[in-house]
Amino acid sequence: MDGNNENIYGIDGNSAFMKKNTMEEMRRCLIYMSRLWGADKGLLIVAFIMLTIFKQNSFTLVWFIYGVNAMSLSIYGNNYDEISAMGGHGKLTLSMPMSRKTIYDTRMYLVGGLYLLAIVLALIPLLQVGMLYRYILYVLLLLMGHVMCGLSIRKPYLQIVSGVPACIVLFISVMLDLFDVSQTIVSKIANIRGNLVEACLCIIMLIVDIIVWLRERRLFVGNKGYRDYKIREEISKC
Amino acid sequence: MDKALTIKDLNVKLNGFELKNINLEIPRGVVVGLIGRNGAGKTTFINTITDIYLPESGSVLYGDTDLQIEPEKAKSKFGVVYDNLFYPANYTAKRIAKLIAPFYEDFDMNNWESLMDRYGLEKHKQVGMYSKGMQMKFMLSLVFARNPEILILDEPTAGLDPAARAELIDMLQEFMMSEDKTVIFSTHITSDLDKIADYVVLVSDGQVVLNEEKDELMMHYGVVQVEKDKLTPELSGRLIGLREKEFGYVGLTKDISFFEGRDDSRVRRAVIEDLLIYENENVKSKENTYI
Repeated sequence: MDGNNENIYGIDGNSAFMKKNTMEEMRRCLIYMSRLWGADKGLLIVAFIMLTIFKQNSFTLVWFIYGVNAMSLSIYGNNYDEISAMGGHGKLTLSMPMSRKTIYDTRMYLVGGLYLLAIVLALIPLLQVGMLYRYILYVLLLLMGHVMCGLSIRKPYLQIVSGVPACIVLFISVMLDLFDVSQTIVSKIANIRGNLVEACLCIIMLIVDIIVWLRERRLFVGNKGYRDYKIREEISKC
Repeated sequence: MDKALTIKDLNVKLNGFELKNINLEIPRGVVVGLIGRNGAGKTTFINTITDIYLPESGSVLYGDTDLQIEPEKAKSKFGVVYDNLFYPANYTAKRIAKLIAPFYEDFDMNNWESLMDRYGLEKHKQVGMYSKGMQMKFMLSLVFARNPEILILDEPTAGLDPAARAELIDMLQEFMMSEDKTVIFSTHITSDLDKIADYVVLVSDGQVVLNEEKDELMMHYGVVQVEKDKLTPELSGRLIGLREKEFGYVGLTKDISFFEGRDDSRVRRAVIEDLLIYENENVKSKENTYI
């Protein structure tokens, strides 16, 4: 085995490439994507975890959403001015020997995982102070962020609006705190069994998220389904 | 002949632009010059065969590997250099090499480092700090370090000074020294192709309108000047892209031998640039002609 081919991950290039299973390809894609983040994004996550757990500061969720969106940009786009020209990392990522399916799935699992982490971490400070309504609101907005990430890989210009959920969180949080209406809202929601309503909203948003994810994935990958795949296979045999 | 790249019935639809029914077969071991005016569809074509754009229909095969069905395998067969730096500008050259190396079984880091030394490029410098010529050399070093079967270049000489362009051509010629290497070279600086191209593909308005061996083209194509009062229907019928000038008419002919030795016209052999100048819908080779 040629030592020259040994790469930075300690895997021999030849043997790693021979493994055709999806998990291996996604692992490589994940490492590749994480290497495009840079240290600033890592610091953002650490800061969020510290503030959420130790300071119980719900505002940090806003920064986390910004962080996830920024990472989403790093993975596929680069800077706003380059997005419209299909520049940045999108061109690099697509030219690499990976399938579009792997690129899409890895990105969405990665971003989805980060959002899930935000959802779990946000539970800690918010439930302690009995603000379930706000927690549900955050979950909804995080799901909205995920939908936008799913959309923006095929329509990169949508990344420009991917910070919208964070802006909404910031706005609502500031308004609630300024006018101190949170307790009133909590009681009203309790009266109409609002928690159940909000949970339903969450489920609807989750369904929307999954539908968008699957639809955009299908369009990004380019196969309209099994039939289309078989037709292409036949063409290639000609 | 063994094919490096086969394109069948390729149709691409983008915002307001289309590539229409492209059919092309490129054998191994040749340099193909892809020419066309700005906006003709050269970059769209390159982006589609490198999986940046999804085609509406049709297929792209590298050897016998379909880009849509086995993208990982197909993409590992070619190396691509786009017209602009498409790596993170704030990363060092070494960091980028480490980023992409795990994806290619043949990527040889030692070879890459020696290429960087040979090209006089600093490995620990941010690639955005390189000049345009240096960026081009850097992108080529990443491709050469893994020795792909096919090299695809999108306007690589645009924005380079003559010395840098000559250097790039030398690098390509060196790459072609190995047998069975294929280069697809998109450009509108046609003098580069005069030096190295074996075949010329002319793209116009999203269609391949001409697709022929360069030497054949140069043998048969000519630029004809006819005085105003000497232009007959017989002559004009043999001229493509006929233009009126002060002294008379100028046009391109596919049959230079017809005009040689005539008193009513003057003729010279065409160069690739003439195809672009006189290009119009009449410049068509045989329908569905393959290289």
